[in-house]
Amino acid sequence: MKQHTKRFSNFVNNNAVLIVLLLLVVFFGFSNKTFLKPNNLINITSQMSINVIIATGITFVIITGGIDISVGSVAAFAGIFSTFVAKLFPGISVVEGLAIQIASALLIGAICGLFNGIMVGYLKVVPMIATLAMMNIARGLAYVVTNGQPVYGLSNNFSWIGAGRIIETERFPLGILPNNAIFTVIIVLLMHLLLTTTVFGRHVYAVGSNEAVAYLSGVNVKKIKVLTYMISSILAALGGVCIASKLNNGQPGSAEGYEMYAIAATVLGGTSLSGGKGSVARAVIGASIIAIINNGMNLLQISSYWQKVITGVIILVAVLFDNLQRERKIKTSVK
Amino acid sequence: MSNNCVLSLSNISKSFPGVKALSNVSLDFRKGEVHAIVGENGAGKSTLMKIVSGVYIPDSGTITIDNEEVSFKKPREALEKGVSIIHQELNIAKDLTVAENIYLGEEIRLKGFLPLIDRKRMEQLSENILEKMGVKMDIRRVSDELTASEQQLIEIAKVINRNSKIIIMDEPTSSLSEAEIQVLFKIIDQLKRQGITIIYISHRMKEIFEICDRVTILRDGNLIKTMNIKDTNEKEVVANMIGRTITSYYDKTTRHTQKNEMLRVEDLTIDGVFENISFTLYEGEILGLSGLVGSKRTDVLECIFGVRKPDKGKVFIRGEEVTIRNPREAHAYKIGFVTEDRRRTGLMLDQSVLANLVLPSLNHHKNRIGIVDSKWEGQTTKDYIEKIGIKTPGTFSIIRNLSGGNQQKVILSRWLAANSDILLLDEPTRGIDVNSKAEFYKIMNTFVSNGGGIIMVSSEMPEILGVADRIIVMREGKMKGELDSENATELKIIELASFD
Repeated sequence: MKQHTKRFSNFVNNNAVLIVLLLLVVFFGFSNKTFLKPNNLINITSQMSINVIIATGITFVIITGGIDISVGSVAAFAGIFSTFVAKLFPGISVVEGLAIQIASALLIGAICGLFNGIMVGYLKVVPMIATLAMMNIARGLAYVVTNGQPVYGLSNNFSWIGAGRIIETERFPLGILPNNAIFTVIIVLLMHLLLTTTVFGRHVYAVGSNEAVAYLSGVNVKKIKVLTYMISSILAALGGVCIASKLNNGQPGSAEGYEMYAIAATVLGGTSLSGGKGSVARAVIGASIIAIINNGMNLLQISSYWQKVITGVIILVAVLFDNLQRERKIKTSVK
Repeated sequence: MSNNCVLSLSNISKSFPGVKALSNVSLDFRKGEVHAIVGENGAGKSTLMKIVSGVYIPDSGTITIDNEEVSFKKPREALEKGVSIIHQELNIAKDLTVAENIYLGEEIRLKGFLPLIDRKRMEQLSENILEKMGVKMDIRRVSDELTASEQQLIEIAKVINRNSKIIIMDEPTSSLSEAEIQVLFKIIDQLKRQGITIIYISHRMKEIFEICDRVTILRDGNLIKTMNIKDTNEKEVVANMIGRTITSYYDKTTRHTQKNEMLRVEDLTIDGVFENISFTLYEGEILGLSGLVGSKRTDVLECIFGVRKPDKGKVFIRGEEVTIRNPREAHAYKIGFVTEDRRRTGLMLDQSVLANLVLPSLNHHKNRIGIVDSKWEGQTTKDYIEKIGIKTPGTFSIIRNLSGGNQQKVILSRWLAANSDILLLDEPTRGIDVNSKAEFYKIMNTFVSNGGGIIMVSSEMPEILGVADRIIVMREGKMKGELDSENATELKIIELASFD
């Protein structure tokens, strides 16, 4: 009997966030009729996709023990850049549009990430400060190149990835699956494999667990750090072009505060800010919780001001719970 | 005698899992004396001092201060009773001024209800204290700019300010120059005359005979003898410190022969740390590096492994000159390094046994796109768990939950799995129990009989005498001699390590 309770409490401890997610679904499902309707679920997936992409990228940095608060600005800058390029080619096809978007994201993401990575890895700038600088630089550039004005007049094909859907049926003339969600799933899977099966992924964990051990074991710590910041920025940039595509225009002020959503999702999922622990799956769960809470509260017609307060409280509770668990674990291991 | 006895310990015992650190130690400290505590590493000196200063609670026995029985539960309580400790590593807040450091935690407030600090008064009083000590120092200077000896003086001022009756000094001279030591001794002399008792922990015989009144010798957790310095000499003290019988778990039967040269260093120097280190490691032998704490043995290993850059000197591997700029390159020359601080530089505590074991080998076991050969790593980990005898619930158990001995075996396996030829081991058996030690030596012996070579730094005399084929003794960054295992004795090593 005792064994059973112990196993149960272990299960609860290890999967606490997942259980919270399920409870939220049940709660909103009962308290609101629209919540579980297919249309709303499609809505949620579409809404959370971008946060999932950005949180996935930031997960790499956070596992090494760093932080990247420039992701929102990098996203906006990359989005603007993609609209600029797209405007040069008025009659683009869907494929050409996609090519422009991905190329823009890779280029801008790689440059910004390289900058962050060199600052943190080689020049030993504190991650918070290095990325704070990039946060301002990228946002500033987004305003500079657009002169503060939104970029309009894009081909409809440009919005395929951000707003398009596939599998059109009679009930859903617009399609069931958002392209954005499919794109997100592909990225998440690739990043998950990168983190869990490759030597690079192992080295990311090693750097975050104990940098000295990683270094003494022959891990190129600086290079690993640069690469994680590059991944973070590139995924943020991909998120940014998706936003631009969804809006079908470029807004220099878009993705404002997205770094906080992404960090919140990552931490809420259980990735430790002290490094060495976490996964892409956890970021996805965290982002889902945030998306569901926001959506559910919208349906319950809670004011968006209160929504912010509630989201903040939930993040705090999650992190406190995580701390508590860790302390308990250390205590038992000391015994 | 009880009249001027300020601190008295009776029948103090303390055990840790697998080790009896102190057994029935009874000892009196007199008012105004400088009392040296000596003993080898592991003799129980630091445990005893931690009990006196309230860090550890003894399993049994009583502590009496000024004829009043006390039992400390935390360092704070010992401090209130007038027992202070000055650690080897100084506890100075680097960004605070001298005065602020002296009053750290005891700041004087301005009168009134506002929580403001009376800086003027603190500075004035600090100046008084320093003056009494006979030290001239600008009390407004930031501590970061001070030398090690000046920082130490601040620590002393701090404990004087707390009206300490008993001051424990742990290796106080280890980072001081000859002139600075003389300043310290003058101050100790002064404190003595004010009736303060100094408990002086040091390895350096010369100093002990210069300033101490009595000396207590500990060995293996037992009190061997307390003597008046006047009635004894360095030889007698050292003879009492050692004389431990070398226990049977050292595999003395294996004698390794020297044939092929594996690693040779010539005139290796890092300015201000160590100089002109030259030795050769042959295939199939264990080379011991002995010396006191602070003799810079670890720095030599780090330099060979590419962690620190030499200012001068050459390194040869199998006769070929090489430059090793970082651990990655050391790894390419098949060198492995087990560091002395397991928790800080040895383990990824919250990762699995597997992750800890295979980390340096991953780059050699991946496919073209960088995916880890998971079959290889699983099998290798299982093999080593079996071969080395690592006690763990499974390959994916978190390493934090393993015992020290098993953690250390994982670290050693890490380098064996990486096909190392040369192992640098820094205090490899520190803090692990006797059985694990014996197993560890067996693994080391097997490794060298299969053609490997080991350089081992160890501060444990019986270990280095029992395990090493040759022993190099270092003192303060210099090589002081080389001993063959047949001729080496504890006495010879201690003489080389501590006397000129």
